[in-house]
Amino acid sequence: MRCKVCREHAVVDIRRHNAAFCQGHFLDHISNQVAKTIKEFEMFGPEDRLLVAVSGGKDSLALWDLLLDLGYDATGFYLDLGIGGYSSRSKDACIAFAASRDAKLIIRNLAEEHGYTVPELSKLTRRAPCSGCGLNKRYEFNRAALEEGFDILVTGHNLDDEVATLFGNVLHWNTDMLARQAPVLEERLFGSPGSERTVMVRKVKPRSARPRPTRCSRASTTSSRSARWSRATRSTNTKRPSLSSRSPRPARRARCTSGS
Amino acid sequence: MKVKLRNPDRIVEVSGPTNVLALLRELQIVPEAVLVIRDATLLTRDEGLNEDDELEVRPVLSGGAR
Repeated sequence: MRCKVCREHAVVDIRRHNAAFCQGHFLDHISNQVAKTIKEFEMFGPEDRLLVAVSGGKDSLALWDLLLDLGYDATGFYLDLGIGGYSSRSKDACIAFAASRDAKLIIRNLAEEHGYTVPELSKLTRRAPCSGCGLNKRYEFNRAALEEGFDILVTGHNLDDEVATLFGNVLHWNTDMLARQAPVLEERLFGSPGSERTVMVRKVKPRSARPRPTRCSRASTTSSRSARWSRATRSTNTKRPSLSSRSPRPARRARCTSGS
Repeated sequence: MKVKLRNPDRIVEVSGPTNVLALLRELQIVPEAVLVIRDATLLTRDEGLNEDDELEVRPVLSGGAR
């Protein structure tokens, strides 16, 4: 197969796009997809401070890398769950990546914050580690974002993750969770009008949605997908203005494509 | 050719397939669910194979570095 862009030898073919790419243009393609999704769902702008939850795996580190390339103010956040060698290896991967990109990384330790690790919590509660792990991560990600003054919490969930979550929620009749499965979860406020405070920061998943094809006839609609999604899923109260009225997106940095 | 498979890690000998898609069909693996690697380079479905190739078929999974 040949690269759709430069006609050089391709290394990746993507059937749903009916296209193949060389290494350099595949990286460009992924970056373009993420940039389009951020814009289409009005996830955030260049003035926002982003906290990117990273696990040390390829999905979250790749997203952090892309956001830095796109010029966003993105800080990494790693939560040490105390899962033996796995946690130490994944933390080392995050530290090495942050150093390679000269990016800021915040590290917190579950045992230091709460006095238990995920394996210990699993034994205490006699429940599968996943349940306590997910709950603690969501709480600690949000707490770190609030305490450190970040506007947006970004996670590296992709479409595969969303499909797995969707099936899980359907099979277990988690109807409340089904309503909250969206690329953008608006911030939640608490308090009387005029004195509200944020209790849940805005959470976005730039890899969890597929941007609309450029030539789609519906692309000219004036209503963003984020706005329509919020209306369809009973939007929570929000004080956030539309990004379309704010600063334009940052200019994209040149990306080396010599790898092709 | 030698093909390294994951979960569990193992190496199988395969003879006959002349391209990646034919190899995956013989191994009964869904092409969209894996990456096929030769000499640290990804291969597309139509890439030709040789009998002395050493390949890795790596599942595409979320949730970890491996």
